[in-house]
Amino acid sequence: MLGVRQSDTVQTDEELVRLYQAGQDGHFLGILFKRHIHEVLGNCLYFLKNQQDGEDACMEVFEQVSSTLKKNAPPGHFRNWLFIVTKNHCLKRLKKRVKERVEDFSKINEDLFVENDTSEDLLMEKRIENLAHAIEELKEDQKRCIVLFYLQNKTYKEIEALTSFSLNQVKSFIQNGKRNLKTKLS
Amino acid sequence: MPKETDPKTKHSREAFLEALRRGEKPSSESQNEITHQALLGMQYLNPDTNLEQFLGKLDQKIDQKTKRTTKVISFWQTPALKIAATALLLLIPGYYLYQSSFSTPDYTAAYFEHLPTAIPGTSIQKGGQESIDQEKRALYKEYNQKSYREAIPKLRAYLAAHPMDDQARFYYGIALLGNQEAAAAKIAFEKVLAGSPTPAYQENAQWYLALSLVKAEAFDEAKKVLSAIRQEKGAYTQKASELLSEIGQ
Repeated sequence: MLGVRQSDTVQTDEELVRLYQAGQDGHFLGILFKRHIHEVLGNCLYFLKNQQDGEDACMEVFEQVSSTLKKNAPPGHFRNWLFIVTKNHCLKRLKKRVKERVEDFSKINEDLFVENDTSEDLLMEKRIENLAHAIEELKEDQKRCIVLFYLQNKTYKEIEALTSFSLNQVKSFIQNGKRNLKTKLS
Repeated sequence: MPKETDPKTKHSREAFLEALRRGEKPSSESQNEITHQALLGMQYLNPDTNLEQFLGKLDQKIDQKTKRTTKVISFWQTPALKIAATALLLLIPGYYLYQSSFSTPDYTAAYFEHLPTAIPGTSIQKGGQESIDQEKRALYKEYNQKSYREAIPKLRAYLAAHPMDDQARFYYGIALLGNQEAAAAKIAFEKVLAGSPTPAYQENAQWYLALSLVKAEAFDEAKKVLSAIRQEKGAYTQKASELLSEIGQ
């Protein structure tokens, strides 16, 4: 009907996907993505542990979803698929970020950065995912220092300035955090 | 919240924000993994970030990105509509040619953020400080409610009596910008930058000055300010880079 958008009724995620695919109408994609954006953002933050990276990743996921849905329907429930896309995207970013500190961080798990064929790649992504979960299980002070040092590339001095910890405490939290991560991941 | 009222979005977002407000530790037993991780992830938001506003900013970005692909559906099915549509199609290019000579996209929509004032909601201090806080709360009441149209005359009158108050002038500038008065906002921020020794206002005012310039379509001037912000590696570096690329730097 002219002038009447079909979004005036409440559609399921899967209906919105179909409407988007039928007419390539970004309006429906917008509704769909905004419906889940708080959880997409939250998951990006969970993996990347930094607001700016989380925000960037969130918008990149949107672009990825937009271009994938132009060609293919998601297998199964849209929400579950969206979070697989989100997780994979974040793990790729995280892998890149962690590699910047590879010399040091690889000591936690020496196999973390072995790059061979696709199966090795998948294995590495699984390890990165485990690492992201393991960081969450650290004590708060260790977690804070590990995140700032490894994922935000801050120096000891910068961490000292950003937290209330002394330089020695920062070093100690990073050392202990690293040891605990190694134990959790082994 | 998005422009379209999608009840599902409203409901799920409100439930999520409510869970965060309750401040309970996320429990994977009562939530699925997606929600559980999302709630845990929110600890990595900067302490001064208002999540609701932040989500609003992301909504705006999505709106901007989806606007360009919007198509009208079921348009060609009726012969009468075909004729009307053909006539319309002939008129549209002319209309857009006319429009494009007068208007440019609003690049600032996704970047403008309301900055709440730092005046405490309630004060436990006794004596003079409490009365100062009360006065300030009254002065910024409309501003903090984002009622910029009402806040502007109040702040303007206050500034006439207190021309050296950079804090008031800074928020006055934001109110003006929020009320689409970019040229006046530009002047306010320039005055703050000229007079304020406070680093916080300097950094913020510089960013909002850049937004005012972009909004006023003074792109050359805006690019200079944005380039300076980008070089300073401060809180607005990333945004300045993004905005620069959007306006064609």
